Amino acid sequence: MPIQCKSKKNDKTYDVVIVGSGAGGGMTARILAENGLNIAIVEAGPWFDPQNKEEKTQLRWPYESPRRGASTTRPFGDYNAAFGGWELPNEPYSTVGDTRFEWFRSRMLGGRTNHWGRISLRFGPDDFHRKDLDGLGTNWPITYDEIKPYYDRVDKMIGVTGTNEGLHNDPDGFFLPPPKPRLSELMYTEAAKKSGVPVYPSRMSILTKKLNDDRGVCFYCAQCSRSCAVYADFSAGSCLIFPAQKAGKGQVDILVNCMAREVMTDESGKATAVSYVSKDDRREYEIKGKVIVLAASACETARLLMNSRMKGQTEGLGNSSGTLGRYLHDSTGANAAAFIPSLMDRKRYNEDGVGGMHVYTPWWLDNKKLDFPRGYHIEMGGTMGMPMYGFGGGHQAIQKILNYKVGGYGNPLLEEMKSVYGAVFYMAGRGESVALYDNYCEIDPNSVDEWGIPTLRFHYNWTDNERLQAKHMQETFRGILTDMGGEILSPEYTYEQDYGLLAPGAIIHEVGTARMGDDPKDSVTNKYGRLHDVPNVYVNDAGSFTSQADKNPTWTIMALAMRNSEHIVSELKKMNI
Amino acid sequence: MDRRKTLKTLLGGAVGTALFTQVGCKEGGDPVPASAGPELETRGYGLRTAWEAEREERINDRRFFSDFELETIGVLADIIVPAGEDHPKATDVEPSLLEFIEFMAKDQPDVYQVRLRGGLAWLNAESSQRYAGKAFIEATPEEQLALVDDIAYELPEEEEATSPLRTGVDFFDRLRFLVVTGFFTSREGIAYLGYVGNQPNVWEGVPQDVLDKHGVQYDPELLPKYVDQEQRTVTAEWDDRGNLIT
Ligand SMILES: Cc1cc2nc3c(=O)[nH]c(=O)nc-3n(C[C@H](O)[C@H](O)[C@H](O)COP(=O)(O)OP(=O)(O)OC[C@H]3O[C@@H](n4cnc5c(N)ncnc54)[C@H](O)[C@@H]3O)c2cc1C
Ligand code: SF4
Repeated sequence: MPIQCKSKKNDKTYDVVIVGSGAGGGMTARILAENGLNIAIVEAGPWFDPQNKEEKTQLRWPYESPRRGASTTRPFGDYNAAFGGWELPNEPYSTVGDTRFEWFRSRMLGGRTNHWGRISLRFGPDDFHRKDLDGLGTNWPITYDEIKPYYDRVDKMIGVTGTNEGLHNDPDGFFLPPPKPRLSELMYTEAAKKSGVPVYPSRMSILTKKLNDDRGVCFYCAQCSRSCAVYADFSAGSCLIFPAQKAGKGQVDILVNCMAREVMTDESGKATAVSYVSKDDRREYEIKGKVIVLAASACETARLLMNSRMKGQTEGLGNSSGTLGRYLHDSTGANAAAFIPSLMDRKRYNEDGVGGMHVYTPWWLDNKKLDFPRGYHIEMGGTMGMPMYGFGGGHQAIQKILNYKVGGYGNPLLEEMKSVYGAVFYMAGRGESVALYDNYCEIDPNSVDEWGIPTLRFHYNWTDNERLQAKHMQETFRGILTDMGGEILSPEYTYEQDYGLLAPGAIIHEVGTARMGDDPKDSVTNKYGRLHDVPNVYVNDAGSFTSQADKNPTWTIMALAMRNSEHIVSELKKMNI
Repeated sequence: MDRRKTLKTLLGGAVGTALFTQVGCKEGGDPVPASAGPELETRGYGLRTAWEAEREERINDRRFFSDFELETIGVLADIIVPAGEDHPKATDVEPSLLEFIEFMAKDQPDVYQVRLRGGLAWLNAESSQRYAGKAFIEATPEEQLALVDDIAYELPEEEEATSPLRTGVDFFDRLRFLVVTGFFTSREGIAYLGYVGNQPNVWEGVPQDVLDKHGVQYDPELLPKYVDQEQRTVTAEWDDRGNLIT
């Protein structure tokens, strides 16, 4: 039986102590466990297993929730499997000046992978050396070829749909067969192609085909955000932590409801332990490890390091370069939606499909010919989905388009709503921003959370690099939506409104706070995620990203965590740490 | 008075109590029988965090609308969603729509409380003035509809700021949203809408007649790449170059 222990006094010294059990921590645990190491995971949230009937929200109907699924306490609705959100009770963060930063945290075993979008894009060769190409930002200390074998293994270990297309910067992989597109996605494909915008089957970590005996196959309920009870989608718990426990070679202890406070170091400057507060008894404990891996998510990891003191380093552990917390960057995001009159009065059938889009558009243009430096990919959708709280809320905008009288009641109104069901289509751009020294998080000297841990405050502003990219998104979206026969529902944004760019952080791809590099003077970790300053502390989450790409980050978090973890195994064997 | 019991009666029978049973009653009164339907294999609706559960307990321990207010909302709800050939009226759908509205008023107080309560008061004042002192629920159905007709449509832009009906229009808009959303998320509303998902199935793509109707088709070159549902339970294997071979 796997051991799942609550916090208690523990004098053991583990080979590795991991903080956080999301994408980065989960992959670390699995690789280390498979290599027979004794590990402990310190996780701030409670145990979570989507298979647990008591906890399961999958396949529930809207009326089983007293608020019909409204997002009062969970930003993505009552059934979303996030124990967290933009705000956590008694765990504040703040922003400085005109910064708009939004920080999404989930406190639970598996972290944000329980309810993420499952869009699983590996980075391409260009993404590791953008500076060579446009002079902006910094190159990674590794190349695509170095990380490719790890991406391939992540594909096979976890499963991802897609097709090999031979695209230069959106490389092939080991894909599961994708589902056929839905109706609106076929219409999108046609319209996009007219504008020279390519469309490919989407790359999602969802098992459309059996991968192994431990996981089920997708039954098309469109509810991956609720976390899949048959483990057909990727969540760190079901795909990494539970298999780590089952690996049965080393010891895997999981301390849930334990909030790490600080990395402890000795006189020689080596890390010895992690101190944490148990949420169950609110007492302070320590857990010892030969190696400490931080995977609490990019900003939490930076916070943890900043809150750790070491002789001679007053600005936080591993921060001799002064770049800890710096170069924080999120993907850009802008959206547009349209009402598609030809989709009125649709024939009813079950078009739930997988939990997300069945097709997608990777970045297709050459930035050298454009007025902004980095690209974006396009996500989209529109289905006859499950009605939830909010249904009917946008109807007046549609009435205006159709020249109906705006408002009303009674059966005529219900008939109207019924007839336009499934006729709205949205497009969303997710782009690369340029990492900047001046966009950063730091400790707020005036604030602690309920565990007495100093909290973060954010400084972040978009530049024209991102604004002009968002402008391009809007123009592209409006063009395609119009070609689909759509009437645009979204407002037209101006430069002053950042062309509809969402706040930094809002896309939940925050990376870069402890970036890797060869030069210890302007980076926090080396190319294996190891702190330049402390030989036995690793960053295995997106903190170590040198730059985000026009892709989502999680596949890269896991490929890097796999690589870093094997480095740890070999360093421990060589007695280097 | 047992406030919860009154609400229960008002909301109509066992269905109305289903949601209350999740957290129980702190203030005494009848123990409410658990009445979870077969689809609720557990109590509640999936794991709530401790603070969510506590919050909900607080909400369910209080009541916001008075009986009179709820009755008025019920009359309005049945005007917004009257019975039709293939669906019942608002106050007859399951679970109770009034209970949902009462819950939302406490769940999102800033959004709903003043606007709904103030709107109801406005409505009754207006009704009283128009119809010789009658509250809205005391007016004849014709009188009620005449008043509703005045507030059920967006005001012309030039009148928006000054119209004496502004409060009523704003109130009706908000209530209509709750009633419509509550209806379409109820069992009967979902059936009326024709949503047929939320069940295990195998996605075979868009039906041919739908493709034909919309003049689109699957790209024949891509068809072999899509998942072959016959083979989905066969474990995936690839050759060295990433071609799926099973
Ligand atoms: C709605 C949504 C949709 C998304 N969609 C996509 C997508 O489609 N594709 C994609 O690539 N990415 C997506 N993401 C982002 C993705 O979820 C993250 O990139 C990924 O989960 C990050 O992994 P992580 O291990 O760094 O952190 P997390 O998954 O956040 O895990 C961190 C863990 O550390 C724990 N922790 C934090 N602080 C402490 C502490 N002090 N002590 C102990 N434990 C601590 C947390 O409780 C948490 O369990 C999405 C995110 C959200 C919220
Ligand atoms: S869509 Fe498929 S993978 Fe996602 S939750 Fe439903 S069954 Fe699971």
